[in-house]
Amino acid sequence: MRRLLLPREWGPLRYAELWQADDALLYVHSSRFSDRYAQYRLRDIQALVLTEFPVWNGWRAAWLGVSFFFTLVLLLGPPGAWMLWALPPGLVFLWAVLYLARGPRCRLVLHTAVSTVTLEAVRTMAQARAVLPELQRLTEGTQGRLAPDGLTVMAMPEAAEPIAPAHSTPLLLHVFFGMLVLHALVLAAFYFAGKMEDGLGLSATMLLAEFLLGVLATLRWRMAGPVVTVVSALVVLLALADGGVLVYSTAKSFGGFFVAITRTGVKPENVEWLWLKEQTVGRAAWHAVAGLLGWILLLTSRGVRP
Amino acid sequence: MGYVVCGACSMRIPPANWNQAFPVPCPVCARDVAVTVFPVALQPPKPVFPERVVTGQEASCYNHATNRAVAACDACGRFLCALCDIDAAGGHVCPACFERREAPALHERVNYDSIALALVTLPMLLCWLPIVTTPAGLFFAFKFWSAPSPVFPRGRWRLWLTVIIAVVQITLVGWFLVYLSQGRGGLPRE
Repeated sequence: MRRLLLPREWGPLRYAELWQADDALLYVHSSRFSDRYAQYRLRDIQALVLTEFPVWNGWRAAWLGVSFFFTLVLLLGPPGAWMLWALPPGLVFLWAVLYLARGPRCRLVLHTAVSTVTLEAVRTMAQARAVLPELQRLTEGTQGRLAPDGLTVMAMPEAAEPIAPAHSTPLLLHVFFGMLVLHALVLAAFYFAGKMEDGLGLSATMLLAEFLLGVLATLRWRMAGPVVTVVSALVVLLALADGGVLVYSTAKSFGGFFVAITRTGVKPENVEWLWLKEQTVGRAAWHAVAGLLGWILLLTSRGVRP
Repeated sequence: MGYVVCGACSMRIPPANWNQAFPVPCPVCARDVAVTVFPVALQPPKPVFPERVVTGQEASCYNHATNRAVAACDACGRFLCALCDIDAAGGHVCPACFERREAPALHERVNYDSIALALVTLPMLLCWLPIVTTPAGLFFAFKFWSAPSPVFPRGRWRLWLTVIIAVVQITLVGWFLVYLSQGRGGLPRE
């Protein structure tokens, strides 16, 4: 029987996983096109060395600053097609923000008698805090524990209670449910400003992002637990249905999608959005309910266990 | 176990810093390092006494002709005695293969389904490359359709997706060729 100790650690061209087998750790390192497996028996593990790295350094500050600078310049630059060029630095900036939001980094090195391996599955201190106590418990359950004098071995009770891993909530879930609440607030602002038609483009973009985030949140069911996963899956379905309504009403208003994209000079005042008020209110309502419900679930469950 | 090193500067961490309740700064780079040493690290290595070959029918070690073989190297297949058998990452390795690999990971598997999917998707960025890579991707998909799954089972969705995309691409190319052959988009007919 195997148990995933941590959610998969993703990288652009690789991923890594750490599993617990019956009496061993199973470390998987994949370059997408090939997987490498290594098994380390618990009775062979000699040491675990965790080194913490600060979240900020010169390169990361430069990465964030330069991408932010170019995004801002291209967004505030002369009007026209320049704004489109803000997308690449904007994505790099977003990547930098998400990278830094994961907190301090670390390196976890495992020593056995014949090998020393860096476990790429543990790259942040949050991950280390979640998995290191469990690794220590498993190994000490097999080998015993060293006394403070560093020489005496204390036997561990056979049926040692599992140490509750440190509670941590994936950032993805907070971003996901936060985006739902933000979407509801944006829709409310457009509603009360009386410019509901202006918010539909933004709303469609956010719906697409919510759909993608919802799929990712649903796939992280191991971390999120059943209730949050059901809510995430429900949001995906609602986003799909809502997107369908949006596309249908847009097509209806423009007289068909293909007509719309081939027609030039459609005047906004000639566009009659179907059920614009009902759409906005309904969309804001389900976003607010789902977002707040998700956040309440995240906060009341005091995090999730890997 | 002789020593452990800092993960940042690779300098030795003194034993006084081992198994502390809180991370201790590295004496050299000052980064916080938490070292957990387990009892097996302090145990002296167990002596190994290889058995001798008694009869001529027994397999002997590649390195020691008088020692009875107890395992075969997972990398090169040579017979190994208890003296030469290195237990690395859950497998048996001979000293020569062990020296060639800094971190032995003996179980390696090629993900042909990912390769097939990449062959039919990534080259779409270039218009002419899929002419070669799409059939290659389809070939990979069918050739390794029933390949045994690795340690962790992988679904076949990549293979299905590969076949669907490849069929769509081939259909589009075929349609385009027919379109050209009818003279609608190609060279003018006489």
